[in-house]
Amino acid sequence: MHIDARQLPNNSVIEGDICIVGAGAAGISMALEWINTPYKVILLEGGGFEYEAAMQDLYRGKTTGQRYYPLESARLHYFGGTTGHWAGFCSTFEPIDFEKRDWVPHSGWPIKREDLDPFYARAHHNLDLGPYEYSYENWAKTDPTMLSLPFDKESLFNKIWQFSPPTRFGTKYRDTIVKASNIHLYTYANAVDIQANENASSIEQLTVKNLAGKQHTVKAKYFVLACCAIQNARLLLVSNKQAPKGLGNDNDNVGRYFMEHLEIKSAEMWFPRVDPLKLYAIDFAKTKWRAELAITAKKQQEYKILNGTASFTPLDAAKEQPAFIDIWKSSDPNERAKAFDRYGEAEKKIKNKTGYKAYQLFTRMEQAPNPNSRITLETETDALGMPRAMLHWELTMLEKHSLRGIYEIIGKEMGKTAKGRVRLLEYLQDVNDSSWPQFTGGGWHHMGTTRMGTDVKTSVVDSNCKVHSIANLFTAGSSCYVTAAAPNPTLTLVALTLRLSDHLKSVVANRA
Amino acid sequence: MDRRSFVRLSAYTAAILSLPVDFSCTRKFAKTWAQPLFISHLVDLKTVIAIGQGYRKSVPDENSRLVLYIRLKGHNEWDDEEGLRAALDSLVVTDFLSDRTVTVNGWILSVTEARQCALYSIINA
Repeated sequence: MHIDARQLPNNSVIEGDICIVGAGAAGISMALEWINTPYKVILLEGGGFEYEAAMQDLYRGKTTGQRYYPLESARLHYFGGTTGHWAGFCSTFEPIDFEKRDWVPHSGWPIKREDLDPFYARAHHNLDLGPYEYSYENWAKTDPTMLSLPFDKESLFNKIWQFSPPTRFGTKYRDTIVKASNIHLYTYANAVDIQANENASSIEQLTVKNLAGKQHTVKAKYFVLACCAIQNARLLLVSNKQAPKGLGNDNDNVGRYFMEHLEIKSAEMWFPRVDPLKLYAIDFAKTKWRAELAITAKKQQEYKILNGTASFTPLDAAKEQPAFIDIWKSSDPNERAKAFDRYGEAEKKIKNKTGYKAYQLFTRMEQAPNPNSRITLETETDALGMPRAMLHWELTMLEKHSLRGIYEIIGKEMGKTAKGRVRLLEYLQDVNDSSWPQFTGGGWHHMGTTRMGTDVKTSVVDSNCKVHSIANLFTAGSSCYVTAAAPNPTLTLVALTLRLSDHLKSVVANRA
Repeated sequence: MDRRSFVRLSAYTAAILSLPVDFSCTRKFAKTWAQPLFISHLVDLKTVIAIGQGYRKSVPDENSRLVLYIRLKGHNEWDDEEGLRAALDSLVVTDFLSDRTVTVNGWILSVTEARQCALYSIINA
């Protein structure tokens, strides 16, 4: 069922069992799980069904620290959320990503990778991926031409990626959601404030507004915030009537530990003869799976580095490709398509089926959880009167040390097998240099801000994604991440949301 | 002259005395000693020279043809050039296997091939 909140009489009261705030990958995945249940689910979407500049402007905010993209460009504010422009890259977190690593401050999830496995398999269905299979050896059986680079398996492995079409949740799931009788989708319903009971131990209702000047109240038994890492934190911080520091923020953790993936050109790999590196190549919208070079847990521990992977781009093409940070400036789908065309054109220009002698190595790496990397509230308000988000993105020396370590390991492996040689880019050559080059950027991946943990002093939600001090408030999606791992966040955030959904079903059933 | 200086001078003298033999050997296989074979298949000679210069700058103790030759040769002798070439290639891989690597101008190299680049850069200065 779909209701346009702009058409409701002002000050309407909407009531249900479950209220999901946000209709992106997490929110829609959650809502799909509740179709045909006896519960009335309210799904709130701030925007409509299409891109609108005025809605995007609600996501605008300031950034300080490490240079970052305009905030309004990185997330889409309409039904389907950021799946409206994602590239479909999917891979699982590794077991080590969930572990406490003594060389990575603030690492360690309260859950293990095996806790997510069944949900990863289910998430594959939502994202139109292939079989839940991430072993190179098994995938290689399906195509013997996908040859691995030679290396010691104690040091490196081929991390498999699968590619979603990419699934646009707004297109694919719109009819399913709208036709579901117990799912009540409200568009143009921006949550601007959450009201708790007097001691802030339970949520009673929240307020939604839209640019048509309407304001409504939403009451439910359970509330799930699924509006991305920045907006989840913003909404909790703004909701300070019963909790002066913001809901769930008694220990000043909401908004902290904001994480991005460092996505940055880092090195070159040179071979004595041309090599197509078919296993590591990608043809957008055609490739179903490929590999990136990854560092084993053992080597990460030995070198005391963060987790990251390396992908390959023909060097001549890479030199023509601008850095993401210089071109990902607009949320407008047309502008974004133009930016990506520049990437494709560079590769088409030098297309050579037999391969290349030199490749650029591009890193995708987690950043260390850092309490100083955080979301706070701005003094300026948006058109709905809500304080805007402010991002302070901060990196540490561990990220740079890790980048060097990754390529030192890869470089040594290529030397051992006499396959090729690795050359670090200039910014990684001086071990004492802590600066970052101008082209340093992220992957438009926002994680952390309501991190999961068992200690209320250092986390916001528990292992079931429930806000520690509040009985009926949950956060879904990548805001719950404790560490970011190397892979893009979508697959894991959908898996984590499905896990939360199962948990919430058991909570609701027990209550009944 | 104190004992330490005497020992140092004696070692230097020994190296000088062996110079004619070693230099004749280097002349004989000069190209092979100074040819980092794998690297030369990857990049142009200008880059090889730049790597060599970079190594000499970062390891000033080895900024001499003689020292580089002595370090490359170790205690081994080769009667034929092919044997020498094969031994050097093998040394390069052994270096990587035993973590005897060095980063020069960003290149992650075996110490042996870095020294070969350095020798090449001196010969072609």
